[in-house]
This record gives sequence, C-alpha cells and structure tokens, in this order.
Amino acid sequence: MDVNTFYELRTRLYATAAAGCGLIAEDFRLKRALEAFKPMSEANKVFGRLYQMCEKLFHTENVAGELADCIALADALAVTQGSFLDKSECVEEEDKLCLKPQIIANRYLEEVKTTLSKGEINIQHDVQKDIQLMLEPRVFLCFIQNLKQETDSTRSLAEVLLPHLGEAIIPVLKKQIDLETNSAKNKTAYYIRLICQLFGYQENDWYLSLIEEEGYPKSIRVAAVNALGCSEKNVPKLLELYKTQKGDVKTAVILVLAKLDPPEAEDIWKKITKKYMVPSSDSAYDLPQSTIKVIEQSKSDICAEFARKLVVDAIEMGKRRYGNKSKITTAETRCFNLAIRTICRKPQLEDCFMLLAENYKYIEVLNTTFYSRLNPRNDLNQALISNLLEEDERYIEMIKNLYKVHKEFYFPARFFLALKEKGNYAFMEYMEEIYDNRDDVINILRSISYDCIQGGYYLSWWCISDMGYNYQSRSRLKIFEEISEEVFSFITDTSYFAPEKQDKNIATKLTKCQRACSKKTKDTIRTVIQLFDGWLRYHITGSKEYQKCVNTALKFAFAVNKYCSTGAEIDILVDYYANGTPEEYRDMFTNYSIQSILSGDGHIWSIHMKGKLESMPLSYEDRKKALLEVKEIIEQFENIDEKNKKEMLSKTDQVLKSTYTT
Amino acid sequence: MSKTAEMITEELIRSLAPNQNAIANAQKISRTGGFSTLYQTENKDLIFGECKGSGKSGYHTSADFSGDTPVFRCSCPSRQFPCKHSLAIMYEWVNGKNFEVAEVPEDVAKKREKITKRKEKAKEEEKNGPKKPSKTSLAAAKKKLQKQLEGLELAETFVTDLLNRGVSSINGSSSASYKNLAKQLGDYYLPELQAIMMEIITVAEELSEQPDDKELNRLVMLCVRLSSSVKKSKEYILTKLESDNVQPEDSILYEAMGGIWKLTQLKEIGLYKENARIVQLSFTVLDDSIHKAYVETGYWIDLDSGEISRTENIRPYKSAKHIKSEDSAFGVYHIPVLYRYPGGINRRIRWEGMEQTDLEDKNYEEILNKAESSIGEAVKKAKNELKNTLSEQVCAMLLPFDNIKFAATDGHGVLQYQGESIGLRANENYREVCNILHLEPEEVLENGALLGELFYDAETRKIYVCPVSIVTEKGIAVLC
Repeated sequence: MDVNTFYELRTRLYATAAAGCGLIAEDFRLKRALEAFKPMSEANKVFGRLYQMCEKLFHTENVAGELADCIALADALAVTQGSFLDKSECVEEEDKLCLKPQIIANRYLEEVKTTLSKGEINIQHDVQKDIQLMLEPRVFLCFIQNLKQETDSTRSLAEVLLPHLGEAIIPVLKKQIDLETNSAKNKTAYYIRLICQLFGYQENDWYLSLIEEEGYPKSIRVAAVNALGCSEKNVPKLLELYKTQKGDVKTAVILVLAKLDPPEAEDIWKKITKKYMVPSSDSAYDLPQSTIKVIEQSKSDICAEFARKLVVDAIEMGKRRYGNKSKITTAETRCFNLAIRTICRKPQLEDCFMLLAENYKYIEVLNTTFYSRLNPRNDLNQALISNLLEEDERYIEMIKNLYKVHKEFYFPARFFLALKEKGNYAFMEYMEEIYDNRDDVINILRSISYDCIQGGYYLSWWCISDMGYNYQSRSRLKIFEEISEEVFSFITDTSYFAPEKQDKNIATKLTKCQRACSKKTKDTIRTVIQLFDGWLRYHITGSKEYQKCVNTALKFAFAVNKYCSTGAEIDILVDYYANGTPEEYRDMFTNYSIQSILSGDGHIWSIHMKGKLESMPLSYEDRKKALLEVKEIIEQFENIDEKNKKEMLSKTDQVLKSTYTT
Repeated sequence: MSKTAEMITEELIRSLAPNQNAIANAQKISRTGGFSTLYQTENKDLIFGECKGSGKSGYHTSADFSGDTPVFRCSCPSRQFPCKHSLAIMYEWVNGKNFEVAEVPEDVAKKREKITKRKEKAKEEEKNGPKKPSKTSLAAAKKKLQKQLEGLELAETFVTDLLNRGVSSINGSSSASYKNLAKQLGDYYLPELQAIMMEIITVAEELSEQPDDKELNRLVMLCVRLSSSVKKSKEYILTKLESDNVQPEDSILYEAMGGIWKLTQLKEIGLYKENARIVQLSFTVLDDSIHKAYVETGYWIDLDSGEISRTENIRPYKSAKHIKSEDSAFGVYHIPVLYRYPGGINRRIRWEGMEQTDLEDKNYEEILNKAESSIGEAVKKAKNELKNTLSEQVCAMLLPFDNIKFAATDGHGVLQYQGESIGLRANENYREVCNILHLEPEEVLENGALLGELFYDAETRKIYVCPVSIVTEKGIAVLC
C-alpha cells in the first residue's frame, strides 16, 4: 500500500482550497491524485470514506463545504498516520556547563529578562545569589543572547562569568551567530570576538572555516579575520588571504597584519603609504580610514616614519598658524588629527611625544571644534596608556622619560602606570599631584571595577586606536584588594567647592557659592558623581566596600547639593538615601534650584525641575510646598534681571500647575 | 480558625499584587512614609490606616484577614485590585512599622456583616439545590441561540465565498469587505468564530505581501476549522432549540461559541472534583495577538488521577492593567472544589479557595508515578485529541524518560524511554525551550518525566513534543 498517494491527495485538496474550488470540475491534478488513491481506499474503511467524499466534490453544488469536510478528514487521517519514532544518532555531550535550574516565579523571571534585554545587568549586593541567578538556564540563555548589545554592564559580567565556565560555553556562543543576515544589523559577529578573547588560537580552525565560506555575511567573515590576530602563527595564512580576498575582508586582513607586524608585510606598508608620503596639496592628508587604521596599528619603521613626518608637519603648521586669526585650512586640521591618531603603538616615537608637549601651544591652535578633539593632551596620554596593553618595556620607559621632562603634561599616563605597577600605593606616591590633576585621576578611577567572583579591584582600559570598541584589545589588571582610605578621601574631597566655614549671612554665602561653582568645578563634580553612579550601579557592587562607598557618595552628594548643586547629585540622594524626611528632600530640591539660578543655569533648571521633583519620593502636598518655596526664593533675588525672573516664575507656575494635575 | 496579619510575607504581597508596577509603587509609598496613621485590631485580623495620596484628603486603606481569603479595601479611585495602598500597608507590616491597637472601624464592620449575610444565603441556596432558571432567562437564552444561528449563516457565507474564490485570492478590497463581515459577527455573540475570521484575514494579508507555502496551508487549515465550527455549532444550536433545552451542557461548543462558564453552572452539570491535590508544572504568559490578549497559562497535574489540566487567565490588552495578573505557583494546592471545564485531555480548571503546602520529595515521586506508561501510549492518546478539528493543536502530557539526548545532525533533543524515542522540537508558544534544554545539567536529563506539548508537524508527517518542564526526584525544572 503506497501511503504517498494519500499525502498527494491531501496536498491537492489544500491546493484546490488555495486556488479556489469554483473550477474543480477541470482540476485534473486532483482527479489524478484521487485515482491514484483508489487502491489505498479499498484497503481501509476510513480511507474509503475519504475517497467517496472526494469523489462527491465533482458532483455536488456545495463544493466549498464538502471540500472543507474532505480536508478536515484528510487532516485527521494524517495525524493518525503520523509516526513519532526518532531514530537520530545521538551524541554524548562531553562538557556540560555548570548551570542549575532554580525555582523562579515567572513575574520575576520576566523582570530579569527585561533588564537583560536592555543590557542593564545589575549585580546586587548579595553576589552569590545574583551569580546563581545568572546560572539558571533560562536566565543564562537570555544573558548570552543579549551579550551582542555590548553594553558596559553585560560586557563586565561576561568578563567575570564566562572564563569560569570552561570550553562548554563554546557551542552555546557559536549557536548565537547568525550566518544568514548579511546586514549591518547583524551584531552576532560579537560572539566571534568573544570566543577569540576567551579561547584564542584554540578555535583557529573554526575562524578559518568562517572566512573560507564566501556565502557567510561580510561582518562574520571580517570578525573571523580579526580573530586570526590572536596568534603570530597565522601570518602565512594572512599573507595568503591578502592575495586571495577582496573588499572588506581584505581590508581586515591588512589591519590584522598591521597589528601582528611581521617583517614579510613591509612591502604592503610601503605600497599603502607611498602615495601619501609627499604632501603637496589640500588633499595630501586625506587618507582613507582603512589606511589610517593600518598606520595606527603598525609598529614598522615605515609607518613610524610616516607618523613622525605628520607630527613635524603639524607642529610647523601650528607655528605658522599661531597668532594668525584667519580660518584654519582643511589640510591643517587633517594633519593635526592624523598626527595625534597615528602616534600610538610606536616605541620609536618618544621624541615626537617630547616635541608635542614642548610645542603644545602651537598644536592646540589646530584643534578645531569641527574635528571635535576636546583635549589633545588627553588623547596623547590615552595613546601612551593604550600602549601599555602590550607588555613591552619600551613603552614603560617611554612614559617614565616623558614624565621626567614634562611632569604635568604626561601625569595621567604616569599615574596610570603607577596604578598598574603599585596599586593603592600610587595614591601615596603622587599625593600632591593627584589633587592638582583631579579630573585626570577621577577619569582613570572610573575604569575600576570589582570582580565579584575572584574578588579584588581591576583596572580595565582600551586600545585607543580601536576607538574603544574592540573587545580583543580591552585589558584588565588587578590593582588592589580593597579601596584604600586615600582613594576615598581623594574622591570625596570637597575643598575645591565648599567653603571652609559656613557663613551665616545668606547673601555672602550665596556669593561665595556662586564664585566656587565655576563651570570647570561643576564639570569636575559631575565627573565625580558619574564615578559614584557607575561604581554603585555596576562596578563595585558586591564588594565589601560597597556600603562605605554608598556612605561617602551620599556625604559628597549632600555637600554638592548644599554648595554647588549640579542636579546630578539628586539622583544619588534619591536612589541611595533611605528614609529621608519630606523636609530633607524639599531642601535638596530647593538647593538645586537656587544653585542653578545663581550659576546662570536657569534655563536648564526650568527644563529639569519637574523631572527632578518627580524623581523624589514626595507626596503631592510636599511637591507643592517645594515649588512654592522655590518661587519665594526667586522673588527675593535682587541680582538677576526682571525678564529672567519673570520667565523663571512663569516656568515654576507651569510646573506647579502640572503638579496639580498629576 | 481565622487568619491574622501575621501571615503577611513579602512573597504573599507579590502574589497578591496585580502587576510589577503596583509592587514598586507600594514599596515607594512604604519607603517614603506614605501612611500618616497605622492601626491593627487586637486579634490582628485587620490592619488599617490613612495613606497620603494625590488628592487633598488621605485614603482609608485596610487589609482584612478575618475571612477565608484576605479582603482589601481602599477609598482611592484606582481600578487595580488590590491597589498600591493596600499593598503598601502590608509592606508597612512586613517592615515592622508600629501599628497601634484600635477597634474595627464602623464602615469595615458593616462590610464584614454584609459578607457574612451573603455567605449564609449561599449556604441556604446550596441546601435547597440549584435555582431553576426563570422563564425570562430561558426566553433570553433561546433568543441568543437564534441570534447565534443567524451569525453562523454569515460565517458560513464568509468561508464558502473564500473557498470558492480560493484562500490566496484575498487582496486589498476583498480584505476590507471580509473585515466588515467579521466585524458584523460581533453582533451575533460569536466571539470565537469572529477571532478565527480575523486570524484568516490577517494571515491572508500577510501572505499577499510575502507568499509562503507553510502559511498558505495554515490559512486553509483555519478555513477548515471555521467551516467545521460553523457546521457543528449549527447542529448543536438546532438540537438545543428542538429539544427546548437551552441551558449549557458538557460540550466544548458552548465555549467555542463565546459562552462563559459560571462555576455554579459547571457544578450543576457535575464538572467538579472535591478535595483535589494539584501541582503546577509550568506557567507562562502567551501573547495572543488574534484575541488581543495576554493569556497566562499554567499546566497542572492532579496528584491523585495524574490528569494534566490547565489554568487560563485571559487579560485583554485594553484592560490588562486592571486585571490581576497571575504568577507561577509553587507547592501542593489542596482545593476543596476544583471546577473542570468541558474538554478533552487538558481541561481548563478553576477554583475559589485553596490551602497550600510545600512540595516534598514524596510529591515528586507521586508525579513521576503518574507519567504515561509509554511513549507509544501517550502518542496514541494525543492523536485522538489532535485529530479533532475543534480541539487545540497541541496536547500536553507527562512523558517518562530514561534520558534525553541530542541528535548528532542538528542537535535536536531526543527523549528515550524503554526502547522508544520521540523528537523534541520547539513550537510557536515556546520558542526557546529547546535551547534551554541544552543548558540543563545531566541529572535533569536522566530518569525523569517531561511535561511536553505533543503536536503534529504536517511537513515531516511526524508527532513531536515541545518540552515545557522536567520533573525529577528532586524537583521541577521549568524550561519556559
């Protein structure tokens, strides 16, 4: 008995329904299928019934109804015929992840999943419990699937969690890669970078297999080429790929060769830099991004010479430009940017760093807002810091030599090196300098994070040439077991904005505050608040210093609120200050409002006012009281012009009105 | 013995909360000292207080534990139940705030009295047997059936027209007129058939933009389902009208035609079980875009009969905020009267009151013993269910296994038991379960029982199981 005739008949019935049964009398395919089914229908009663019903289709007036009945019966028969035995050959899974199912209520699970899907993982204070939660299979899968968003928090947790899971994680990560979607939206190339970071050369054959499959998305193949950069053993293969590949894949091959810098690639660098070596016109410094990246990466003498020439040209241009108020040319800004960008990863260029520091005033004039380099000094220090990714003594010597001659200019790089080498002790060694270079140190401290599995604080940093986005070039280094008192007292120092003695005279007090709250001071305060926010939210949660950090953050935030409010401190106060009274919260809001008005931020204040007020745990009545208080203060102000005053009062009224309606 | 406020725990508050926002808001009220006064009765069966709100005067909030189930009262205008203030007063209790002892307020005392009277009345009614339907209600039921019959004609026209023209013929203008027809069906008390029609139109519109054979077959299947429903519903109504028995009976058609069962009706026709012990095996929230609702589905096992039933809490998008959402349930539920809906293998169940005890190792053993005797037997039962056009396209069963392994070719799961094996595949409702299954530890994948939805795949002509949860001697590993 040929069962296929039944399935063929069923398929034809479906086709008739799809095409319409109006012309069923001429449907010879259905007739043929029915004929073929006849022998089978004779063997079984139910099949026989189906045959009769189908036959009737050609003679009835209600074809649609009868056709539906035929399909219903055919479907029921198909289900009855359905087999279930699965004879697939099965594999024994050698390595299993150490995951553990847990009892989690659906509502909580969904909450966790939503947080993960936003990339906002927040390890709370009960670290073991949180880690256990991540190791629940449903949560773990969601965590892995959302890693591709590459948010800071998911990345940090991946760094901490994944290395402990062993090789069993490899198939799970590989499964996340989308080998179908050939678009920029395919973010799954990230998993190749992750596997490379965790397992490096061990997965080399797999990287090669991805590159060789030309049908795979470009982003996947490029990521696989980048992964080949994990070992110098890949140089011959990369040189071969240089000859055989084209487009983005070839560009990636050149870049990886630049990172590995084998002598065999010299000809490639010569070829790439040749046409840009002699600047003659405005387009002279107009290098394609891919070439710039190669020069950034390569340590070869050819690329170093190219970078040196750019530095010398930039300084010359700066000298000519100094004091000249005419518009800066495109060639000048391009040359300046290239000089700053290409100077990293070149131990031969200590003299260039010296030159740049000596001629900084000339260099600075070329820094146009159009190219938005906010601070070339910071970029030069970042270049030195990113060099420390490589354990190359020459870079360490370079920083030390530069600091000897240009103490203030290269302090950030020197302090970073000290932290890397001596941990907490760096704060004692550079006690004076850290207060003079507060912003630099705070910015470095922002990259500290606590490893809640192994314990201890780690410093992480990126290679500047990869614009901070290349996971491969991110490095972590344990710098201390605990945060020392010196660090805490440095961060929470308020001497630069809080008056030593409190003045009882309101007018004098306000004038003092106004003077203290310069834009620069406020910027520094904001950076400190951001540091606390990052530490408390992600970076140091789970550490034993967490509570101490909460307390110091609150102390600092209260001081800021009192003397130099930026508004940012209110978030810390609302999130971490438990059981504050309505009066306290009202005071916080009032302080913020006064400071904003005094420092000329009245406009920003009016925009943020409502949001800040709503983020506070205040009742309707208290909110109203706070706003009325602010209104009263504005009315008392004498040193702001009437128009501004009126505008502020009307804004307050608007908020007051909306408070009534919410 | 009546309960007291001592039973309040954070877990209880979470389980009572209508949604996550209500919990967060309640915590905020408690944290910021929202209550100006807090009281408790001497025997602690009532806590009450005044809470600050967005209005000028405060709200009178109370949590009353004197009855079988806690009663929450609040003078706020919120439609959520319990409201954030009621939850907040319980947080105040959990957080150890000071509750002064006071008498039961007058309004609460009056409401308590009403409840007692209502209970007494219900008891009396139970003694006297079910109330006979009045003449008016019988006439109304008859009228409704007549109206439904008219609606069925409309639905029949729709499906006949569609099959005559061909399901793939729906385009812009015909889709608009079909939509109108589907809308009209709303006037004929046939919501379920209306939903199928809307689904047909949606699938057809999608198909016209992106042709897909699988979807085309689904469209045909939907038409067949609609046609069968119309045919069977017509027969059902005509029989009822002829026999003059218009009351609901033990048939899935009543619900398929939009009927909503009352617990009393289920009891009247004997669809209930006394002193049931059930355990939840899985819980998930499905987004049913066709019915425009979130469906909170739980699969439960009866520890005595082994029957797998399901609970369904349907929260339409429009009113989801105001309907209490359910959550996973842990432990053994001891239910005095368990109501069962008409249906096949996975009947829908409901109850009013219950007692909960912790799950013990012996309970897991009980569950394992209630698994099907073999894969073949389970598939046979499932086929009987699946071949019915009107029943669900899946059938949940508890399958025993020696081990679950993974195929060398594509890594799909294979459940093996006493020489038989069946493939594990995800279905539309549970898309990630197979990926999660891969991550389960070895001990979960050996010698247990798997709760799975058996379904037929027309493309491969095979029956598969979509894994939902796994029961072992030590616990339940939920995969969704």
